[in-house]
Amino acid sequence: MHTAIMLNSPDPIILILSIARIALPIATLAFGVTILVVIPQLRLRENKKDKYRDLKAGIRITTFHGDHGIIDEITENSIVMQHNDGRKIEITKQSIARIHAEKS
Amino acid sequence: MLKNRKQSPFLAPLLATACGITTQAWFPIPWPILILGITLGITLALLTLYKQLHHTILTASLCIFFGSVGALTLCMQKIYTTTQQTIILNQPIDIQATVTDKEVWGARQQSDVLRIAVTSIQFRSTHQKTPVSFDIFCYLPYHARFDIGDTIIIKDIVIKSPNMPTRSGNPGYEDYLAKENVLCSLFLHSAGQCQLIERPSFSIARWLWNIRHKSYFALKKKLSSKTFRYVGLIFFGNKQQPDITELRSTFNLWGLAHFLARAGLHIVFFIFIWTSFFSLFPIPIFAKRFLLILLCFIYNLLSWSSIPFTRALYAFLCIKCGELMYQQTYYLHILSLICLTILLFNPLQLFFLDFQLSFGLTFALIFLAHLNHSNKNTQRR
Repeated sequence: MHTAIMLNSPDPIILILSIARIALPIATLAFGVTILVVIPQLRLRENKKDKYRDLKAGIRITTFHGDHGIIDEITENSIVMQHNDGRKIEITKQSIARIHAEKS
Repeated sequence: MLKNRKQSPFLAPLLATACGITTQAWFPIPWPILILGITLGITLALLTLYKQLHHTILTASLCIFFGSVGALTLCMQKIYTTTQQTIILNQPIDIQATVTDKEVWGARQQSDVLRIAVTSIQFRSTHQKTPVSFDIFCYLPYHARFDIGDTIIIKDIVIKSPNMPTRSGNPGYEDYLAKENVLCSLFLHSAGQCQLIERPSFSIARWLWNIRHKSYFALKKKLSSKTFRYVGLIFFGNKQQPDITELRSTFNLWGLAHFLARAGLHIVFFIFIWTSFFSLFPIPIFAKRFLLILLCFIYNLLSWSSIPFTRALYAFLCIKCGELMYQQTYYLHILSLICLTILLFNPLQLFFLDFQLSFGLTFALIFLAHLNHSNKNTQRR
């Protein structure tokens, strides 16, 4: 397309339209991408952060791998999970698929 | 939302935009109402996000917003064309313009068609000079001595309205010109009307045009005429070749005329050839991806463009950029976004067959592939 912004146009309608024909699609796409992609992604990240904030020792969890266990120790990015047979493994927080109720 | 690969987040806005454009074409809505619709859509969408209401309300408000924007873009395109036309139509003028493209035209190949970007007009009655910005197709009955990038002046012409509505209700020539961002076409009869004002010492557009034509005609010398016609159509996308009527009618008879149009499949061939070639060299994958993007850009610059090719090229570039940035990409999301972008910048594309077939068929293929995939998954369970 050879659409140009006619800043030197004496006709105000042409001036406004030449700007709007370029600005409106860009603004619409930016708004759409923000509403449909950026905000949901930010919310998802916030929800994940909230999920990990509630973690504490003694909570039963399931990993994406299908392992079940109880949280033994929490560090900044990882947790130490204790299996039912007493074995302890260190996993990242992102590998938690489901948080169950606290161990009674 | 992005978790669902079958449903692109841009699909509802895309459908709303298409509906808005179609409604505006059939039942024109005044622009203040459309601006009101846009404001309503934005307010509702922001309110839904702020209050965390149900997702359906957000989709509905976005549909109002995108539908109104689609209708407004078409409205603006029509007002822009009409306003420019009212300035210049039916009065003797001199126009100053820059040559942006040049093609050989006509059955005997003795004429030229120039695409010129008009920068200013001068009314012969008042001698008043007005800056403008629009393109014109300029048909000449001889081979023009102008190059791309030249500034020319065309003296004493009267431009008439290209209004030619079709009986079938299909888009007329005026709509085609508006889609191409061209205001009108001009048929010049004498060489004296057109004069060269200035030729820049270096012009990127002229350099690219020369490379494109030199490589095209170098191939013509080396290939047989039949092979060259196929290569020209499929790999260069040049539909203005002489003697392709016979070829076209043969393909029409077989129902395979679309094979002559350069489309996504051809860029796939191009990428496949280069990927195979790169696999012979032990260079980092990052460099290979970057080189492939660069080659596709060059291929785009050195060939004739069309909507299916643009779609395939942009989709490829989006996917490769995603790979370069280590981001996951989904073809359906990318295709919806490309379709939406094209419609927002040029809403008249919606009424033309190349756009409809290109995007319609690609969307249909993706949905069928998803359907097939989900059926297989069900059978496995």
